Amino acid sequence: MPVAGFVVNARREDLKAVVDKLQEIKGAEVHGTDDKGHIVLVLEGDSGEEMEKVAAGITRMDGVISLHLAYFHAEDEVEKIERGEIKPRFSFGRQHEKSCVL
Amino acid sequence: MAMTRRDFIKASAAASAALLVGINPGKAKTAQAATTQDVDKWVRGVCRFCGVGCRVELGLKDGRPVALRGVSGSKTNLGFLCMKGMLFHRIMYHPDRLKKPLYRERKDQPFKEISWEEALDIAAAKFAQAVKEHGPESVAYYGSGQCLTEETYIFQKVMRAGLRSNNVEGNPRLCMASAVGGYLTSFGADEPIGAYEDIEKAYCFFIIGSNMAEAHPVIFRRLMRRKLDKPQEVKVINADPRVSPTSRIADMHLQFTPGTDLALLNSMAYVIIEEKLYDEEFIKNYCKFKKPGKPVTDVGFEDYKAYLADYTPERTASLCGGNITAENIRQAARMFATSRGTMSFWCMGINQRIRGVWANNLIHNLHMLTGQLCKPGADSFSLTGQPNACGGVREGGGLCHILPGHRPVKIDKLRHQVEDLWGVPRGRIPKKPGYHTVAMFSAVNEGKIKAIWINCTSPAQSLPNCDKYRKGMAREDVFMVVTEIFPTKTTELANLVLPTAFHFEKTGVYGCTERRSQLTVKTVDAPGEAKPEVWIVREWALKLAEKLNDPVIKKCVEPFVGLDEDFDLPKAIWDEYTQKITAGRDNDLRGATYEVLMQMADGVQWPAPTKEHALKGGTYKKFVRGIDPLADKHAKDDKPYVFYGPAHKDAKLYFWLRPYKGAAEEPDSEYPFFLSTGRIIDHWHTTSMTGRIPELMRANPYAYVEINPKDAARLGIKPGDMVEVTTRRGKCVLPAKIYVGPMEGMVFVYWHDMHEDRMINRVTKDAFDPGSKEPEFKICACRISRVSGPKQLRPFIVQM
Amino acid sequence: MMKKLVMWFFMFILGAVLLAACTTPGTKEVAVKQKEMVPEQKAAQKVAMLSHPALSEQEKYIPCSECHARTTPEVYKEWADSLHGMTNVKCFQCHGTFETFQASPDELKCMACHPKETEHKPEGKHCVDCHLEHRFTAHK
Repeated sequence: MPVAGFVVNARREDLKAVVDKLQEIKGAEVHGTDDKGHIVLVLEGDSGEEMEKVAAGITRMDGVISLHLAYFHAEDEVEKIERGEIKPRFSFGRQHEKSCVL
Repeated sequence: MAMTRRDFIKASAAASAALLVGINPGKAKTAQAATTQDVDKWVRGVCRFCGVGCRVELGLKDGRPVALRGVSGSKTNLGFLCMKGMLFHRIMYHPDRLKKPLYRERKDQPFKEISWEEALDIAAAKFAQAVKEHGPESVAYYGSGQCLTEETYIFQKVMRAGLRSNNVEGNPRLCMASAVGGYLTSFGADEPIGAYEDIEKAYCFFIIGSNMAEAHPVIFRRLMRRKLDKPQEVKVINADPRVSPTSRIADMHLQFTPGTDLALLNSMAYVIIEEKLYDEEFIKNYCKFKKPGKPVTDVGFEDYKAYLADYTPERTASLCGGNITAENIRQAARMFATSRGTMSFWCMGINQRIRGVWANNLIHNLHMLTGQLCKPGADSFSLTGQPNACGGVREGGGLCHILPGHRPVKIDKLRHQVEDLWGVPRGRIPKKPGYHTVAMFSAVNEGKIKAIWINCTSPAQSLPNCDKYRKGMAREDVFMVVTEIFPTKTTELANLVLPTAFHFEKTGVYGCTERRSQLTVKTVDAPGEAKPEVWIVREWALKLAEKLNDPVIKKCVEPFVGLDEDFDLPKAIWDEYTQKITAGRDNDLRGATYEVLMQMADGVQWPAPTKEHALKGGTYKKFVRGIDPLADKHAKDDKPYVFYGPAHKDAKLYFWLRPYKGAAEEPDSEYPFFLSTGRIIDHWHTTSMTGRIPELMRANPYAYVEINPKDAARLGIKPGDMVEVTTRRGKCVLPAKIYVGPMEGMVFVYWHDMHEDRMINRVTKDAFDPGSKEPEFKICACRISRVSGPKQLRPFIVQM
Repeated sequence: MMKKLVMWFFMFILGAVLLAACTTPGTKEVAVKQKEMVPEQKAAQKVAMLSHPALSEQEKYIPCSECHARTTPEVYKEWADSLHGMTNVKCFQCHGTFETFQASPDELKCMACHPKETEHKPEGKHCVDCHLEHRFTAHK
């Protein structure tokens, strides 16, 4: 269950809309904003892989200029990989594409 | 509050990020959406919406409805549901549900909550006063094809035998009265001969005047499956002025000018005779030819042939216009006549017409001519729009001219039979039929009806030319009771609004299109003080008896006094109706007791005179010896079919020589377009239910006017533009949908929208079929003009 | 961005020390169990509506299929030519609306019409694991 801290750079005029949208994400918490359009975001997810996709989705949201990772805590995921419980997947087919295309 | 380890990690994550940009971190609230719900119990019932009669299972979690599913192998739907069906549980505990009786003395006052005791007292006092001062003809009941059979039956019993008024009507007059007229005049017996089961045995489908893909999606799915299973052998002909989603599976789409279908049907008969594709044996054995007029005269096959001489495919094709060629008509006729089993389906496009009965007769003519009846996969099958229009209203005596058990009220013998069975004095039920729907609301307009009870329907929106009739309903000297579950356009005009229990909150039987009766047992409690209608009528009748000092009124409900309204009361009503009233009639339901219906998950198809027969599912096909016990009973020779229908004493099927006749209002230079109305898959009728399901409202938030691209280009109308639709009765303003659906010169509007600007029945015409009294919703003349570009619109639902 | 995240991820694989294990939630016995979505599905669900272009209230009243016929024609075609498309089983019936969007519909949705099939599928599998999305005609 990794946890990560991000800085989201949003267009100032879209700040509120972006915050609203970020809060709709399960496992996302907004920890503060400023008038320059910065948003402090904490994401929590089941895997790094999943979080990667959520992050990719955020970068494509309207009003988001950029997203920067500031902190990442992998928690027990590494252990699980080591124990063979999770097998990191590398997929290049439609299955993978689908989650990004929509 | 102690911080967990994860909170700590999150705080660290936030702090690190905040540090980069110099923000003080502070947590904002996170939205959490539930994605699914668990179900701990599934209970059986039948779907609340259209006439297909899908068997469903309602999923409960802690006693509350949370999901709905089909059941594989069900006889009607084979387990499939449409979007309305699968979402219907969502309205059961909707916050808009009416929970308390509401009353206002004057219609310009606000409603105030009152007790049931007061409410029933007021209802009884007002009806009693009307009867005393203005006679039994001044009171009326207007019901619905959505009421349970028990409800319609008890209401009409109290009205007829109690208040001595035949002013018992219902919204089925607006939807299938012409089909009833057609079946009775052609076959001598109401309701389809076959069943859905024939779909899987059919080789040709003739769909005319029905967009079943949207109005009856689950039956359409069966047709589609059949077509896809045998794409070469099974042929589908779709005849409709509008190309609709139904056309997708069609081999041939016959697009004719609205109203010319009567000629088209006659022309198909012409081709069948010309090419000698008719079934001589069937005609000789079972049919007669009738020439309408006063009196009706018997004629022969040669007269029929001569009569059709006007309808050569060439002449008819030019009359029909659209894409129709003489060759099309010939091909369609050949497919119809030569297939191993042809099934016709029709609905409102044929019924809601000034000559709806004739159109029905002409479809039946084709089936008789080709012998496409009674054999597997062959039937002349009218689709029904409401879940209990057949079971409750057609069979239960819910129209002004019929008593329960398919008995015309004006026939003395049958009327006396009912009076005797009810134990009321002969002569108690008036001989003269009451007001039919349009006449009833015209009488309201004229102030002839002083008290009217509207149950489970919204005539303020569903009547044609409804502004005219809303004026009457708004009269202060007309006392209006409405029994409903939600606020509607009609509750807006009521004096007294009584909250009723909804589906699965009460017990009762629905009879669907294919003569199938299915029981839904009470599973959840109704919200607030909402009560089942059967309780309401019983209590109201007891008060009426007191106020009018009339023991006969009390007699009507006496067998039901003291019974528990959740089960025993509807059961007792059902028992009286089936065991006494349907005994010996063509819809004999004596075998279909509650006990049997509880066992039969798929219900029972009548005739079901005995328990043994009912426990086998009843009769899949009427009139066929060996399948239908009544056919065996009435048989006089060894022919395989026996048409014992109550309306034809000679047990024959009648060919009717019906000419082509156009619509009541055809386009002219002032109003150059045909206006037709219809349904959309996501909504049902007036949206009082489906409009309260957010998914469905999103999917179809408001009514459009569909315009053919060629007409739109000519008039400079672009998609989404606001368009004014004007008829002689008024105007509506709706967004345009430019779509190769309606043919050129025709526009099409969905009728579900409650918003005053888009409520299309404000402009439709209230002309009606002189036989069936069913109004011509489907055709009138209009003009259209662009008023503006696209506008921000919002969906609209009446609130209390 | 993606690269950066991946880089961080591997850095942590190398250097992370695990302090405690997460507690595993107890399983509840109910008639209908929703299958745990694999992380990938979950992510897709979160991402899908986020990356959707912002829509005005008015635009949300347009059926999904109207835009998707143009924007994702291949997906639209999959649906339109399928049995679902022919019988008017619309996008929202499986995927929900803007408020309730699910990229991968939960089984309660499938169950409405396919009760038997959802019961007889292999344990631990979701319908779309084996059936082609939108078409459902054949196994993958």
